[in-house]
Amino acid sequence: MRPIVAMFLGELPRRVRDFQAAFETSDLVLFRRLTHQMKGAAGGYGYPSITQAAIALERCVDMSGDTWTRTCRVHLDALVLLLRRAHAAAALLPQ
Amino acid sequence: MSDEAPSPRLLAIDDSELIHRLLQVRLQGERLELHGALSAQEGLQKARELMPEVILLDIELDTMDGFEVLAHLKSDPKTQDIAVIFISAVSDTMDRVRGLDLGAVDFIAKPFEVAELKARVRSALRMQHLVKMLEYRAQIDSLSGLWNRRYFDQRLQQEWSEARRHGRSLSLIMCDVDRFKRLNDQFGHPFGDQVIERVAQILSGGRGSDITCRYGGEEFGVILPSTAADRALEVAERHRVAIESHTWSGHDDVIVTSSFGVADLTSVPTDVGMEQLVQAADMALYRAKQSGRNRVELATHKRIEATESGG
Repeated sequence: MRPIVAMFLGELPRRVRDFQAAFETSDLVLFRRLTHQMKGAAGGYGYPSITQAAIALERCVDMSGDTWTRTCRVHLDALVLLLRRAHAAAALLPQ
Repeated sequence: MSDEAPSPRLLAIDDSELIHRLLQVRLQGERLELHGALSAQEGLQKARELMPEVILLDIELDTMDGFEVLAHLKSDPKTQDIAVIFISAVSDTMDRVRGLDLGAVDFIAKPFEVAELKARVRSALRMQHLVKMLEYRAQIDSLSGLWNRRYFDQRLQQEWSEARRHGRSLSLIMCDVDRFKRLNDQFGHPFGDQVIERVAQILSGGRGSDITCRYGGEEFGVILPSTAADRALEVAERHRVAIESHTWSGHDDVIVTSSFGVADLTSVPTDVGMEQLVQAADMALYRAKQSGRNRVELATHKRIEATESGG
């Protein structure tokens, strides 16, 4: 399990960039897919809090409308924070 | 050479590489051959190619959702019996109900618990094994151990279509034990059963590619894919001799004979169905009976036309 968790953590910066780019360009389809995939996978890699943050973000996107940018931005920031923390913590772990 | 059955195949259809990696690791150690598809189209194509026992199917996919993929799988005779387990981060009860109503056997929520995932896959495989065993038993004749009439009809249709599509030859041998009723009356039904069993063994002891079936009563059908009539005639003659020369346990003085009718694709017009091939072989068998029994007769296109027009 360890090699694929390391791969998952190593890819998080790229996934953060993907999330932010989809959000900035209002690519809602891609944004939803990224969120949904993170929701389904993160818990399996041992990061249930990331799954919970993705659930909140996905719910916000599903209930979107005029307010989705402002509200979802908050949830996106929370998710990004968790992704960055997980990546940073992994760098401190012995290889 | 190992006698162990091949590992069951599992196909995971999910648009997330993260999930595929997880499944690869989490299902390691299970006796499974794991395959993956990242899109609905790729999944449908691989399902037809690989014919997996189980499919793990995500609901949210790219060009079509998991429900549509399931509907495609269920509408295709080739893939309709594959056990499908939905594996999805969608937790809505109505989605679960919809998936099960469409024919999925189970539903696993993502992120999944490994032990639960493994247990549900094993459960689906057990169910699949039972269904296949029932299907197999429903196609086997209990006395002779051969394929039964139902299987004969299905398989001949399949071989007929394949032969027509690819321009291959196809032959059919119909065989009937001579004076079987008399054997039964004279020596008793246990001997009649012994005859059926032994003739079945002789007919199925030919080439590995031949498909031997009990057509009904004391009549048997042998389907010979990619085989022209001249070769089928040799096969039938070898069977005829083997049956005639068999020594019957407890009845050393009894000689059992059988008659054969052989037809191939050249025996019937090109625009008819496979029933005509059976009819052609049956008519050749009838001629073998009329000509004194214990012989092999070949059907020809001309003869059928002549018979149909009353000649």
